[in-house]
Amino acid sequence: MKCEDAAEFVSALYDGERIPREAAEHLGECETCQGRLETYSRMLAEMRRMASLDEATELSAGQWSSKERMRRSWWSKGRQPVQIPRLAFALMLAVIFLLSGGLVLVRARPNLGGPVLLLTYKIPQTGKSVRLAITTDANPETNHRSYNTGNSSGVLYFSVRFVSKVGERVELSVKSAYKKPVGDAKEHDVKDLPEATEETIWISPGENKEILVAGFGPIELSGEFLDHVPALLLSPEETLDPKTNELRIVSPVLVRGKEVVFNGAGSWSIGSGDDDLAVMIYLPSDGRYLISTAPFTGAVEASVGLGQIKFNLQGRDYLLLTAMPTTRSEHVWVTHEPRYRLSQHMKGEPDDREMFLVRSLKTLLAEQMTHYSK
Amino acid sequence: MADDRELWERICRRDEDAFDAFYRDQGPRLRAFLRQILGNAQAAVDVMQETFTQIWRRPNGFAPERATLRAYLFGAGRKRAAEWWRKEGSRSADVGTEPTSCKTEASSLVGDAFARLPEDQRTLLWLREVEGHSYAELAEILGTPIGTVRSRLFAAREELRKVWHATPAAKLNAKKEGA
Repeated sequence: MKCEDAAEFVSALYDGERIPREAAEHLGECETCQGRLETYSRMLAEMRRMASLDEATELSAGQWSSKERMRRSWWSKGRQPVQIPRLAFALMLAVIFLLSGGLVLVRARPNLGGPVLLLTYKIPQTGKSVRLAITTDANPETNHRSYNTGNSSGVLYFSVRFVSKVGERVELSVKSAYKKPVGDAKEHDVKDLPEATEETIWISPGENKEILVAGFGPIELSGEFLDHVPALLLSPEETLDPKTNELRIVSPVLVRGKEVVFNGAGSWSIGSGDDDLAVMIYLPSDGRYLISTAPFTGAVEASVGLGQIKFNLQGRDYLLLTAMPTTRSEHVWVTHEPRYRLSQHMKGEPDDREMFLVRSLKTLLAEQMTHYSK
Repeated sequence: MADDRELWERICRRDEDAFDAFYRDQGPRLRAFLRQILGNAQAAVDVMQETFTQIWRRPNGFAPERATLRAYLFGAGRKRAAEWWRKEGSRSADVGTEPTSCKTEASSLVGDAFARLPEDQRTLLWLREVEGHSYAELAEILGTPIGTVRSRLFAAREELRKVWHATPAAKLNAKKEGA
């Protein structure tokens, strides 16, 4: 038996399986196969060492329990009888009667006590404001949001999660972290960040809360209620029309003929300020498509409609559908590079994941580019 | 820990103490697993919490005759992780204003090599080598036949071995060991 035939049996033997006699005889004599078995053993030991380091980190309280206990506590309190003087009871009824008209008016006013909490993070150090919208319910897909921003001076990360709501007061779980560059490193990734610190805060509309980010300083958090989820979560005040020199790609769907080749439902990427903005759509099996507001070498012209971009490449019709208008330009330019591989262009990015993003055309055409990873 | 069937019955009866013990026992392991397949510590904590919350709120789908409760938990965690990738992967990738590059967290050579494997191979290796799941449990978690598990495990180990040996530092170590 040859080593390549015996190799799979080495793996099986390592897992404690019985193997055929011929393979067992080969393993007893072959140093290469014995070396393979030893390598597996060393890899296993190292992986378990990694796991031990990870598992040693303290486990935070389970969110399942806090919500459940809180609900149960309020429920059991609500079922307990209370004693109240008759005069106070009559007064309470009168107040309710007098206020009922006013209550109706309050409930009809827009943007008050709505199901969506629009949060504003002010970062005094950079003068920047970031807006995040979360729902104030138990939906785990919409009741939390995270954000990170970075440059050569460091990476700032924060996230917020809805916990509970009492009247107009909302309890939030807030996490934040910051990391400065180490040595000559000019770039960072959120994966480099230390464990985010978590705190629970209560916030009311119009109230400012200070969040202290270790190593960075304070940032301010305020909130207001909305009666709907805004279409652009990071820019809820924006109108439907894109600005001059802005390219918005929201929930894109790329159709070739009658086949949907890419579906980015629920995600978005927006760029502004440059006059040569472009969106890159990457498909592991089909390379990349570049669609730019400026002409470039090898690109074909495409027409822009309301939430649609139409083009023809190599005799095949394409349609890019988006949830919002993309650009004020009437034409854009498109190329398709079927042999493009993400990992060769963006160091460390996996080739097997679909993605899209908006950047300047110059950046996307550069030989190497950096990119926020997951 | 009580046996799986008894523990599951207690969870279904809304026994918080039993579920808390289950969380304390398995939470760190699930978090470590998710961290490896998501490559993001914060996301791993979030997905772990969501997995336990989902099981607590809707305890269903576990069949004691088919797999262990731990295998069921890791299967649920893996599904949540896949959902996270679909929903948050591209979104979080595009949030921000200025680009940064990628770095892995693992410091060891094997850790570096492991981080370069495709997600399905990382998942399989971690569940087998670290969590010690049997072939039958792996087949249940991953929804594949046992024979496929065996051949995929071999392929994953070989890939890890090749990537590991291809790193310059590993070659240097190999030379030192040979000297």
